[in-house]
Amino acid sequence: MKFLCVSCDEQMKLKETQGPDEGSFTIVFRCPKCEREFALLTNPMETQVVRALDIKIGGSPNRAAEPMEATRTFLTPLSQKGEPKIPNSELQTPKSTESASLAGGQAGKEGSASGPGCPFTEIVNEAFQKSEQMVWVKEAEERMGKIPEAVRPMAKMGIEHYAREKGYKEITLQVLEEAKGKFGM
Amino acid sequence: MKRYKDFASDGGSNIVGQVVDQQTRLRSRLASVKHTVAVMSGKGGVGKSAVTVNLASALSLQGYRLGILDADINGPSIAKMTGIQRSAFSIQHSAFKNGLPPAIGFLGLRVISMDLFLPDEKTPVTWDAPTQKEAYVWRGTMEMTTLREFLTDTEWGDLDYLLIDLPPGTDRLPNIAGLLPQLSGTLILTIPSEVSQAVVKKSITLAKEHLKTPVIGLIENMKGYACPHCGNIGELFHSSGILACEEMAKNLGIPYLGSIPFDPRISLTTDVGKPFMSEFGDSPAAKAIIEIAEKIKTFIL
Repeated sequence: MKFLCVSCDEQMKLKETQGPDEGSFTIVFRCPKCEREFALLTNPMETQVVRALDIKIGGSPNRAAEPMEATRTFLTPLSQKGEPKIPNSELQTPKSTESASLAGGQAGKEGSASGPGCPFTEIVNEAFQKSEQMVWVKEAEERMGKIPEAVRPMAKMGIEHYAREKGYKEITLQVLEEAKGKFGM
Repeated sequence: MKRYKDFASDGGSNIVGQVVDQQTRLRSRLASVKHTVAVMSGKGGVGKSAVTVNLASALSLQGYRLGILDADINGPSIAKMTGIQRSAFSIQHSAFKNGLPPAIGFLGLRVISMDLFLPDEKTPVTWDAPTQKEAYVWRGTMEMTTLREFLTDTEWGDLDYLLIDLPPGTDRLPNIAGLLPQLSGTLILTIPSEVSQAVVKKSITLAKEHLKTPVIGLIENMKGYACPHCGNIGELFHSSGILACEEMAKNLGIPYLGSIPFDPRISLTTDVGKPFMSEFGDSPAAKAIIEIAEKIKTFIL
């Protein structure tokens, strides 16, 4: 899949990725000429198709694949057998642009035609690891409902990332306020 | 306005490069495997897995090194048939950086099967996903990825033959043929029934004409009933009005490798994971399997 900036007739480059949020990713592209940006939002089925192909969007990760990695990662009964799934720590390269962009809303690494570096790879891996789910209290969820839907997944992930960094187990109105201050919202 | 072909790169993912890497790893892993043979049928229930195990046993008893890949992801049976205890197989990842050692069945058969990844017999294969809605879109792809990992990530070691036991139907052979351009050949099984023959013709046409994979030949399973007491062969299926399998093979331009009589001891031994070929090596069925194994060797060598 390639994206074209119709105005400039230029191939758009990957700017950053956000997610996962309930199996959905937000992938931001930017035109290198006019700097116009747009975001691609995947639904859970689309994300799963990519995972099933065992193809890493953004290029190969900076590590060798574990034996039977895809099978062991996605086979549901493994957890019942008592065999560990591949932990997130082994699937992820050291703190990537993903973290920076999620935490601070900073610009992620530029997409490059040459391959590795896109944080989407790690994000996709992480999506299906059933990592610890952050609990949202009802009031906080209602507050999030006021944010435009298009940017809600990005905002939600940023807030969850902030909460995890701070060691919070749930997202309350107070956490939202703190995160707002941190992001300068 | 520029078109897709005007851009050399795919925007950063290098999908083509990743696929090439996968193929390179696959070739590298299978460099120590002399011959890969796919075993397929048209209909289910023709005894394909049992024949696969017994052919592997026959060759193993002759001193060849055998591996079996159970490509029936959703209905795996090879592990049980070869006497492998699920609990003795570990998929603990941290210990195996270069590949997962295959489970070892009777007669030293090296086996990989989805069954070994499941906690017990009653557990079906299900895949984690954020949604199971529209799972039909990706389930086949996931199974294909698993097959590739079975081939690539199993430490097969030096093998003379790797037999790939395909599930019923024609859909898996194109996947295997795509993964393994060096496939030595395909064995096709049927039983002497009109329905089975009608379906198996599709498998033969697919393998021979569409995929251009070498067809080693047709095996007719359960042809007659071998009496365990006197060894005489009686008819098991009603055969009047249907074309003899030998004739069918001739018409389709493939070798007829022979027939295997039905022997209840085959299911008895496979049910308990014992090697029929060594336990009942003098039976008509075992002798027929040995004859077929000889023809396979002749075809390949």
